[in-house]
Amino acid sequence: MSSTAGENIRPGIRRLVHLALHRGDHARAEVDEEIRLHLALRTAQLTREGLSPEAARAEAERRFGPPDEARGRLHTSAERREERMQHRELVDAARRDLRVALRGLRRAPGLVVTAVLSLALGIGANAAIFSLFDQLLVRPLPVPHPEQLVKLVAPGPRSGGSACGEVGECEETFSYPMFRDLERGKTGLIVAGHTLVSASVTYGDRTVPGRGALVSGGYFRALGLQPALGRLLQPSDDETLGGHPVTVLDYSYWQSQLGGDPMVLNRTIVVDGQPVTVVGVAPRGFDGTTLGARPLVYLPLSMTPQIAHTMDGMVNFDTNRRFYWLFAFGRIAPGSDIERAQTAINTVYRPIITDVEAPLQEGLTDKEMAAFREAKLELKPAARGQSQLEGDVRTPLVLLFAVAGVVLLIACANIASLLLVRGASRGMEVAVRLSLGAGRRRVIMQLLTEAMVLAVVGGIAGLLVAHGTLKLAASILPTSAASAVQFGLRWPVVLFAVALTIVTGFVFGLFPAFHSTRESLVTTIRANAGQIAGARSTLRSHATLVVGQIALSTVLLVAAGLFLKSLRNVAREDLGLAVDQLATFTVSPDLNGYSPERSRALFRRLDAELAAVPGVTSVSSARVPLFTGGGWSSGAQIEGVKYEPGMDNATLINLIGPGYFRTLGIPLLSGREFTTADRETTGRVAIVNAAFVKKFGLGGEAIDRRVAIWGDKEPNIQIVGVVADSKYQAVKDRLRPIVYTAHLQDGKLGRATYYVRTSGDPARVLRQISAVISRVDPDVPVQELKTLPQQIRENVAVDRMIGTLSAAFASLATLLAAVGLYGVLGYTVARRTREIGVRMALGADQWNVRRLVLRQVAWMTLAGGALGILAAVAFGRTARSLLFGLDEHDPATVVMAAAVLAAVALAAAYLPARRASSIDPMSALRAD
Amino acid sequence: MAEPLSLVKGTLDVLVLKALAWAPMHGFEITTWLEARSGGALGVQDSALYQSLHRLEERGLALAEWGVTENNQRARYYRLTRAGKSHLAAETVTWVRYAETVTSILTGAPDPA
Repeated sequence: MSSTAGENIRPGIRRLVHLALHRGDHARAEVDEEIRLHLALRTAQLTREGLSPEAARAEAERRFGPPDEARGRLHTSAERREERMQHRELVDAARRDLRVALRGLRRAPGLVVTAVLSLALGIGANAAIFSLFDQLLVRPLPVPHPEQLVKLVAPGPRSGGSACGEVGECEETFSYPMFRDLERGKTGLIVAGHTLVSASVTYGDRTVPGRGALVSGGYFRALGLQPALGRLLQPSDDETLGGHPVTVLDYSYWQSQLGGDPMVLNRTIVVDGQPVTVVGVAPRGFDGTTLGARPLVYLPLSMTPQIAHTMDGMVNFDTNRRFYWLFAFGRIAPGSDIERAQTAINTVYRPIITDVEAPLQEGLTDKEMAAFREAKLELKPAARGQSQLEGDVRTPLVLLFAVAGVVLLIACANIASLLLVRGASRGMEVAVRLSLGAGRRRVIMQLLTEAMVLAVVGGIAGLLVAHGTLKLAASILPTSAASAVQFGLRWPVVLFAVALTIVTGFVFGLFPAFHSTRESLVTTIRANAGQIAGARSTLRSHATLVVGQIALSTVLLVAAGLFLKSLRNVAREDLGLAVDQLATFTVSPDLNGYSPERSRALFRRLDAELAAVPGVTSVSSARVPLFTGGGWSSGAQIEGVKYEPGMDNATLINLIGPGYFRTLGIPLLSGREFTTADRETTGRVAIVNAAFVKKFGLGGEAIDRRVAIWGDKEPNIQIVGVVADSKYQAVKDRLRPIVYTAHLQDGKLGRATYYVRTSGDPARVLRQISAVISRVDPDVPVQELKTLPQQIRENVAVDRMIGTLSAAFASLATLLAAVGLYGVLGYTVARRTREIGVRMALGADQWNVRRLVLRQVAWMTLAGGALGILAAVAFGRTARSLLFGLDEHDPATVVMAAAVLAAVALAAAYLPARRASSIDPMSALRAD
Repeated sequence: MAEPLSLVKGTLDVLVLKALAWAPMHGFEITTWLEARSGGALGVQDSALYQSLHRLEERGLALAEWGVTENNQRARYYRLTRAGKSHLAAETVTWVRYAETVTSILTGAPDPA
């Protein structure tokens, strides 16, 4: 070896020999020894020149420099030297590794392309799901110390009515008087109440439909926010009912609709026909406390009489302890914790329950009454605010995250196999390097660098994939859910992708790097002289990886099969009405402040004008829109049917216009539809469905019976018709009893959802409908104008998204596993070329040889498939809530997944099998 | 003897490199070489020399190895690397040119009137 090479190698080896831990000690010891020698030699020199030994020593030390100080300085500079040289060596080594890695990868374009594609898809999918996960389930509200926020939950039976949904479940609602008691009580908590209402906000001449938040005086205080302009609502705005017409604007609304004009302070805007004064703007970045619903304005709870007047049951809301509609959360005092706060608040809550509210309860069984008296308030963490959406999306997102993770694992296994094979073919080179003294660690580092280069390129491509996936998800979800989330790449997602890339690089790079440099390598080369080095154990590892991949893909195939079948069930579900050729929209004149008479007149005109549009065959309306997840319910009492306390007498309710069932295509079973003759002045009428008849055992005698709903004491509504069952709130609902009353007989008539049947494609009529409405009354905004099939698609958007994504991921995973399988089979054939040649020379025919390959395919596919099916069955229960019309053990799906797997495996085996059978025995025997 | 000259910053390193250009030496050998060559005109604390050696090692201009002296004592020998050799050559050229320029200005005859 030349001296230049010696210069480069020897110090490196020397330094490797020193253990890193003792570097500092070693350097200092060396310095001490040098100093000792120097002083000894200097002393000897001076003694020779005539000084006494002691004088010589003293002079030597003087010339050296003050002993302790000099020694200290040299120690420091030696340590620094070691550090810097070590650092430089690492940098040099890394740079060298990078150069070698790039050179090596350039010679294997197939590997690079496969690896980068697999990684891009795997990392991209995970980053996209993480983005949703982070925003919907992880990121807390932008308030100080969000971990101190808790929501109040009141589980247990109670009597009366409730308005729940969107902000939370029914057990999270409170009556107005109860809320005020909790707010006032000495609980150590800052308690805030809130709920969302529809709100039309008019500023100047522009009206924007949207949501408004009714909040108590302590809301912003509990959140700990500072206004962007003016001030936020305070307890002083919440003192007298109806006496504080003030509002705080949402920041985005202020920016986009009012141009961020600071002069808006103290101006008047109109909310639901009610003029209010703007006193401030909420801070930037604050979207309210309910995920998925961003209010345009915040109004004090004291404004409830003016704003929420259309909600049934809101009559006497301020004294009615049995109508539950307000949600409540609070902030725990610093230093306290949830348990202590819960105990404290129950000291206020429980006496009210037992002394004040228990005597007021009606219609509860003894058992329910006992449970009511025992009721306790619970506090649950609410760092992300309070919303129903969070509970709804939790399971699907967790599932999707798991699926994406599995895809990435499969991709890693794929790349690891590719690197293993590559390592095996470079076995000779690696063995030589190891035997020449390159530390095993160094070679592993170099191989790992290759893996990391692949990972980084894959990661960057992954960000592009993530971006695309998010855009795709945004297009599938309905606008309400889509508006809750930002579908772009933000810092948390990019950081996550970077971290994932590094971890992934290690995951798929470490094992092949270790395996390729194993101690037994040199002996294996000698033993297998003439064959691919170390083939047998490499093959074993490789095959294990592929079996793992097959198992994982099988799990995903089964999952995708289940979700797709569920989606098909949803799509095929009989809704009970003729869905196609229906268009729908909603108008809410009450939000413009119209009186019921004026609204009635508007609706009459709309009915007439819409019916006159060419292509329209029928028009009707309903108070509660179909397939939006919402619905009204109440208890019902029917004359002649004995009512026991505790009996389930719940029914759904809707208010409908004349000709409703004809328009929707719901068959009339007996009696008649409502007509325009059923007015406010005539007797109140109702139509019920078959499920209602069945539930209350009315038999064939439903017509002419009277019912009472909404807590009325006397049954005074006469049933005039019976219709077939149909779905109401959601596609996935079961068929439930429904009572339909006449919308025109409703004293609080204020809004309606229209259904327009067309003879042709309803989408073409949408624009004409819009024109008609603006002609009839340009001031009233039109909401949710779409075809009914579109509405239904939105209703099942989550199912569609899960079905689509899981199918996409499963296909991807299976493709990757197929590539892996193909790789290992090709490798086997190449490795056993000579053996195959011998067999053929001895008389084996092509079919025998092919069987060799197929046998390997068979055992790997069977092993992987069996493992996968077991895993799918074991974990299936977690997905049960997402499945519709089937359970997680559906045998047909499992069989189908197995069939797909078998087909893919055979396809992957085709080429290697053919190659094996076409081996020329002579050249195989001659070759090495 | 005149006051020992204190070294201009950085020159000690170059001088040490020059010493090593002759042969690998240990710390004390370098010290005595410098003292002999400069006739004692340069005032350098011995410990400063070792700091200079550390710097040279750090920059890859010199390499250290433990060896044995003629008296069988263990000593740390320093050797010039290829980088050190070219650095020495470059610095020498620069230094000489610098010294010549400054010397000629300071000792030059005034311009003819």
